[in-house]
Amino acid sequence: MSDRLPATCFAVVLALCAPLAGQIAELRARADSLLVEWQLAKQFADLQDSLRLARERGGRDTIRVGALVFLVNRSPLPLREAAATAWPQIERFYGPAAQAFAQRPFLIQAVDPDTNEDVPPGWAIKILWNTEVAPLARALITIADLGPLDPALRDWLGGVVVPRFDSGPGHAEVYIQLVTAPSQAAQRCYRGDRAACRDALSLSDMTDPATRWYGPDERRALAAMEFDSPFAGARRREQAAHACEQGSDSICLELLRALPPGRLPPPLDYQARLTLLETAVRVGGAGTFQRFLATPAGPMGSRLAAAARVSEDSLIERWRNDVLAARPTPVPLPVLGAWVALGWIVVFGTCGLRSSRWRVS
Amino acid sequence: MARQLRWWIVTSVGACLVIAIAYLPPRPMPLLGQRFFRVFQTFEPPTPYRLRVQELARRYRITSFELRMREYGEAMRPELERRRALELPGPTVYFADPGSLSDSARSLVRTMLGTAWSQLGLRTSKISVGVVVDVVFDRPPGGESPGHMPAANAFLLPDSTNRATCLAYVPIIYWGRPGVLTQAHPAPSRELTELLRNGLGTCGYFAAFGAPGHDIGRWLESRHYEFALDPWGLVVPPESTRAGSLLDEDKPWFWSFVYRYQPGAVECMAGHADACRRTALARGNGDLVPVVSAERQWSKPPSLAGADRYFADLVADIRPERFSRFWNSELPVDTALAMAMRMPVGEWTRRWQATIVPPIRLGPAAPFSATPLATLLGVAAVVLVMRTATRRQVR
Repeated sequence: MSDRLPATCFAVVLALCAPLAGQIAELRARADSLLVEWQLAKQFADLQDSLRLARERGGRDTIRVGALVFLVNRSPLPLREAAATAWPQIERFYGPAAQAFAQRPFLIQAVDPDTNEDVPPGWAIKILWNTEVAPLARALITIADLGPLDPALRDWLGGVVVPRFDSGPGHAEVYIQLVTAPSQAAQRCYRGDRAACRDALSLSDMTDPATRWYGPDERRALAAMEFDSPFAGARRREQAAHACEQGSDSICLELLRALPPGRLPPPLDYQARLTLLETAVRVGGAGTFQRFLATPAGPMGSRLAAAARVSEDSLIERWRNDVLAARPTPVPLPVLGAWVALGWIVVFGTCGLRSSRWRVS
Repeated sequence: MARQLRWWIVTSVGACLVIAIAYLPPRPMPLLGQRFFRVFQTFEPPTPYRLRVQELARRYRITSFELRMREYGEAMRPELERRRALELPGPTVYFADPGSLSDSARSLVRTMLGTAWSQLGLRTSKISVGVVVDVVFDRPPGGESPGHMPAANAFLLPDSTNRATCLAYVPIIYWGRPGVLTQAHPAPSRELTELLRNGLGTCGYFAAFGAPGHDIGRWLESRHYEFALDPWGLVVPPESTRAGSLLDEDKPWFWSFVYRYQPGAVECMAGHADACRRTALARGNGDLVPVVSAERQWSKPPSLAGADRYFADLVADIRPERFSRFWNSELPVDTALAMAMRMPVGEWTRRWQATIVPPIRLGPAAPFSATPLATLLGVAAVVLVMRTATRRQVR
């Protein structure tokens, strides 16, 4: 106590002489105290959440298939069979990295399909227990995401890593994007320009995507679309409506550069990037994903190429060939079909016109 | 009974049976209405413990903002005192991170703030204004981290410990994208001009009119100075405010955003002067702290549509001299405001609100043009059915 006295006196004198300094000290003390209180409250809230989670996990069966671990409530859900179907594909995609799932159990709540009760709250993945093996296996593949192990990959991809190989439909979707995306980069990529593919897929550092992805006309259309929104701010809307739409490319560029990072729509979306990752895994074999995780941070193109043990150009070329090979077949309209449709119209029309009268009595 | 009719009855009963099988027990949940797969986590509302964490984080942010601003104020004190002694007009500018901008960019910001000061008609004032300019390149940490500065203009107003200084915090947010001030040769842009001018915001009122009267000060403080966030003199087209408040009646979300406001504000939009008066004069329930932030919460609209510019438009309407008399008045708020407006507060507010949101009509309101058309269509349909039935009858 006696030790503290001079310090306290000094603090009081200081506070009297310099009220502002005293106030700063008081504010700092209050902030520190609030921070401590916040940390305690957070710890308590986290504890409550983990207790809730533990309650959810309690009384569940543990099912292990390969490195996959499921904590699931008792039900007729054919989880083991579905996991046995899904695991080989997951392992083929991730290779040795798939062992990471052993540390990441899936919490699954099989839900009764014959109930009007709302789904019970909680963090578990809810699945109807009458789901069949094939769709359940597909769902398990969808949730087998190791993207969180590499935040840069997750950011670049813009979604979850789906360990799939059956990407014919995915490649077909990318083909349509390549052909129809209003982007110079995508169109040049379609014509075989690898650098444009690199830009369209954001495989190198993108300091100014607005110029790398889009040409002046596309920028004008894009700015008009992006800024025709009340969230855009009055001044920018006005600029987009006047200067940019009337042909000032510099204003369009300024507007697009003002968008928050990630807001500028990329010409090729998540699907295209996922197919590229899949191509890399197919080319590099089962160890690709493990090698990818081990590569140092850097542009995504060089990381993927290094993991697949090919050059970046050949990886892109392979991906492009896969996409072009998946060109969707046009839907043919047979001549007979047209006649059949016409015939049905005539039949219904005749029935309508020739129907019998109503007999009232 | 005719054979054909029997077939119709059998078909109808059969259809009813099919529907019953689909919708009645043993499956109480309709087959068609069953839930789809829920492979992803569902949204969970925050627990009371988590809400407390959020509330503490909010209080911490206010306190740490006040602390940081007072520290900046200390750093600015010599310059503030020098300006006060020499009666130099203009705000004192301080850069939160001087290394983040080039000399020319800093000089540009100083010049533009000086120009904004002059455009507001401000000269030397009893209350000095310090502006802290913070160029923000990185996004604030995500999650529940409580320690980050506001992402919009915020102010530390004069209080009992420092009655002569008002500090404004102006974040210039780049978040990783290129901006005017990061260019090699920064040039003034309209956007930056407005940003800096708005940055003077509430401090501009203190610099121009001094400290508000006691009752008026308490009223404004309880409402977080929401009427005094925008400085006056900036001509903002009503459409901009309307669109900024998501109250553009041509947009499909118009009504949903109207009803996000409190009932009093909605009534005011409908042109009810009483409601306008009530809402404008109501006392808020905000924390009594000298910190004011223009940061808006998505879920919490202001008390009136376009409230940020209520005083800005009032100054433009009644001129600064008369506004000054209101601001410094020791009369009760409603009396002082009505005297300044020279009309009932509700009436002025109703007119002002109508410039921002065209008066809405509450209750069912079928458009006049649509009503006869709908009636005609209905009558035509009934007549058509009657005539068809009559023609088909065989007596």
